[in-house]
Amino acid sequence: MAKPNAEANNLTMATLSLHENPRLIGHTWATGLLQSSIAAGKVSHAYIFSGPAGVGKTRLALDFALALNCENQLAEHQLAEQHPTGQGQEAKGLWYCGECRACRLIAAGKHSDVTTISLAWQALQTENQGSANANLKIDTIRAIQAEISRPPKEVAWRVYIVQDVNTMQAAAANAFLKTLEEPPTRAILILLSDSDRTLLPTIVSRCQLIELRAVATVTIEEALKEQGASELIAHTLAALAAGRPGWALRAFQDRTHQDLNDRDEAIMQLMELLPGDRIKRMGFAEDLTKKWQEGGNKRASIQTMLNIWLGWWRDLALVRAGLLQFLTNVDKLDDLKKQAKKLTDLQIKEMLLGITRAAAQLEGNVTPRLALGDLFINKLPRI
Amino acid sequence: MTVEPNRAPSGKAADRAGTEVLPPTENIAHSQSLYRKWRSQTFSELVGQEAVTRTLQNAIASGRVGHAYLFCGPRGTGKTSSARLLAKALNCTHPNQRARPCNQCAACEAIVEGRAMDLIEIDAASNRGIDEIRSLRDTIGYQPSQFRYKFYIIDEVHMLTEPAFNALLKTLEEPPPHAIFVLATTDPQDIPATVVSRCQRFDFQRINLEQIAARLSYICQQEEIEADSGALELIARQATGSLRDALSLLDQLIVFSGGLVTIEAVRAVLGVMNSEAVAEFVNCLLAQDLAGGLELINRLVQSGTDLKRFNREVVDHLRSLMLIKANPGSNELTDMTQESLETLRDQASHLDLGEIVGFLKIFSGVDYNLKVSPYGQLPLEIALMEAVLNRPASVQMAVPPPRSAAPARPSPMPSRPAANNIKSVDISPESEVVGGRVAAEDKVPTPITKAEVKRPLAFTPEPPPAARVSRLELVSDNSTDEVTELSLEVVQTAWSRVVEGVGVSSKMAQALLLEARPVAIEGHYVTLAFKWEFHHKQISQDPNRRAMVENAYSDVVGQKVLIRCILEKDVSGSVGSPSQGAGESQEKPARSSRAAQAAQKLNARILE
Repeated sequence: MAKPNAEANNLTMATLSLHENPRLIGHTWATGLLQSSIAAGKVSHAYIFSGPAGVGKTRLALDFALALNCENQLAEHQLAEQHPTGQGQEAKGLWYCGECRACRLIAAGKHSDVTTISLAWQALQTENQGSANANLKIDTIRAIQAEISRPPKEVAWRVYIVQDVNTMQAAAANAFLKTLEEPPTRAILILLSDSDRTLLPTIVSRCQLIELRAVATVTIEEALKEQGASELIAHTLAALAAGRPGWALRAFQDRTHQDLNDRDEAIMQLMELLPGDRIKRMGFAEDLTKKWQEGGNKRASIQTMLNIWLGWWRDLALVRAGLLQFLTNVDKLDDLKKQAKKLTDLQIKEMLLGITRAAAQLEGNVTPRLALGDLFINKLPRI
Repeated sequence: MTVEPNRAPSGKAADRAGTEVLPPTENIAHSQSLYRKWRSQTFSELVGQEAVTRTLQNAIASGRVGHAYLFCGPRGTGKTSSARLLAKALNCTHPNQRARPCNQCAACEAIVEGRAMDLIEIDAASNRGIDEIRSLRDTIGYQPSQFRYKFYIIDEVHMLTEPAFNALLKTLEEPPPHAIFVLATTDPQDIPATVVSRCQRFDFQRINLEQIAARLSYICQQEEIEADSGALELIARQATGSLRDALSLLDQLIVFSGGLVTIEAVRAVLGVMNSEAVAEFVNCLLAQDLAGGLELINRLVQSGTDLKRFNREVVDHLRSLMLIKANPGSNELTDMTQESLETLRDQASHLDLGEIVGFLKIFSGVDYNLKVSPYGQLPLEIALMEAVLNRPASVQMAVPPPRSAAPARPSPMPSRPAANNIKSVDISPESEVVGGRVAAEDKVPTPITKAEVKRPLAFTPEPPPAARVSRLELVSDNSTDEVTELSLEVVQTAWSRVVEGVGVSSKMAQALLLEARPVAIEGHYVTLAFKWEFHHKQISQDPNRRAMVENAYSDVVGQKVLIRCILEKDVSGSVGSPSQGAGESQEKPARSSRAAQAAQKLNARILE
């Protein structure tokens, strides 16, 4: 299955600031867990927050750092007064005042005791741009080890938020093990990972694993409405987000509508291809090959296109099954219905498998001519 | 990142201590994880490693302690704990050797508190170079400062570089009499044989379910926490043999549930659904209810279920079905409740073993894809489609006979009447739909290209994969008895699995093979016809790729296969020409008659 490289990168770059993303959406069980661990004084020394890009990992980590270090910690009975249990969303949320010095500095990313490590941070350190910074390096891990022994200067907890941990290779990951197992007192490591695919089992077992799962579509829709989205836009974006509120928010706030345009373009290309003959299809594969050879963003855009296609064919299967409430491309229902009538379940399944395989092949550096040629000629039905 | 001089927490933090806010120091005092707090401090506490502990204890009692040990085993099975125990036992001053470690003498206390000078714990993963080993070698000659032995624990030793390993060899072989090494690792295969042979090797086993559950309940008692035994068992099950995983989870749950660990709390934190969902899902498989299965998956996603765990449970369930089918009297399943056993028996009666194995193969591959997919649930949905749509041709082609499993099938949702209309298309045989399309195209003046005829061709002779799997197994069983007799049909049905198999080692080769297919068999030689010269060259002129294909083929069909590569146009003449090519080889008749049959079926003409 394709690594959602393109989307992941875009999202990390555009990680929303606190201002744009005023609160965590969904995941009440996780915030409840973390808040009660603070209240009970049972904070663990290492956490992994995992989940797809845009699901809310960074936001949750920041909230946790804020709640740990806010200067106006509430005693338990005050907390209970503040949020009488069972009422409203925030009843289970992480609590911080947002006004004290610590809160303001942490929120602005300027607090000396709360550090965020990421590929971008690593690039700044090494002044070495480009592909050399595709992985979190062992030197970075060593830097964390050296630095973490310093106790916090101002607040209760020294917090390290480590992004992109899934890019660590074996050497770096192993170097992390001992620190993760027994870090100095008053230090907390929060690892953020897109997937636990590349994390060593030895790392996972040393941390408390908080797996952020897809957020219910209704919850995202409500959050978007809160932000001022109209009924229609909120509904569409929430469905397209596939459980990732970060994606939905970014798509909503992006005035250029990049994500929506990408989606429309990819679907249009698919529609043009469906009735096309072999020559047309091979021509399209050639175009993609040229694009692929240009590298960089162009490659990412091909992967994005395949991902969007996956979503589309999945929708076709859902339409055929009559499960309209779970669709992602809700705004294109008519097109979906039209196509679904002409297709069989078997064809849809073959396409889903074919796209998945083509994406994996592209990931493995097979040229699009080969990977997509097969998909277009042998799998894509002609309707 | 700059290191600044340490400073005490500012006055502000200190001021808070007196007022209503929680003093930070109080937090810290309690913050140790359960797995660190409850590290085994005596050999009897060490769970699940009886062989290791007995050997070590006897060695200590009889004074026959080696100078170097290698502890290997999966995570969370007690390697580091045992190393520290051994260090304590060897340095303990208790007069009775059998009672060591006593945890009371100065040496034991120093080690427990982590302030023993002579216990040197090296993190080999972050100090992995030759320089670190050299400095170890330089200091190892000095006598221990407090204890009897200088004790070196080299943890994560598999990460040492090769020069570092080699630099260690002499020291490891003949260390000074006061030095003892323990090397600990999860990956013993990465350690050079020269190192392994200098050490006494101990393999730590995964800890079994009961032992983990028992340890958890002991710790809960000591920590004065109430917990259901069901909840603890569920935690133990998730830990897959690692006590540290289990304790991390217990930690989370204690906090989450405020001191009363219930099975509901475990489900909420883990995103485990109730066990009925799994049985319901398998019922959908049985009833070939694609819509029902898709709906179930999406409902689970919306309610925040962890699909990886769900899929693992589906695989577990299918495995139980397989066991029950293969051996109804099996006592493997004794830990199940009577009810779930009933469900299993009922489901098993509607399936044959081949089908169950087919399902198992499909769903056991989903786990990895779920981790990397951008659309969380999609891999599971695809697997469901594969499983439902790949039922044997007889079932799929005809109107599905009402299966006796029908009562178990979830009642159709009221929102689905529209689906029934669409579904009716499905009931008509696959070939008719395809044929209709070809026929329609026939009227269009554009000539039918080769690809058009080929696509239906690719459909018809190939039975759906599930049937293919079970048939192939029969074939490979036979083939071990009567060595030869590979038929063309066998090599052709095996082809897609061969391509998959090649894909494991090279995606590039896999992609190249998609444009080829087997057209003839002669003894051990399978002839592959390539559509394009490029693909042909890339395979036929690269001995590595050839070998890859031959190996994959041999694996799939169960006997030695060699390949010959030809170009399709050499066989069948140029595209579009009505006459057959001249340079046609003997495999042509088989193919053309097959094509003719298919074309007849599809009401199409052959143009090449």
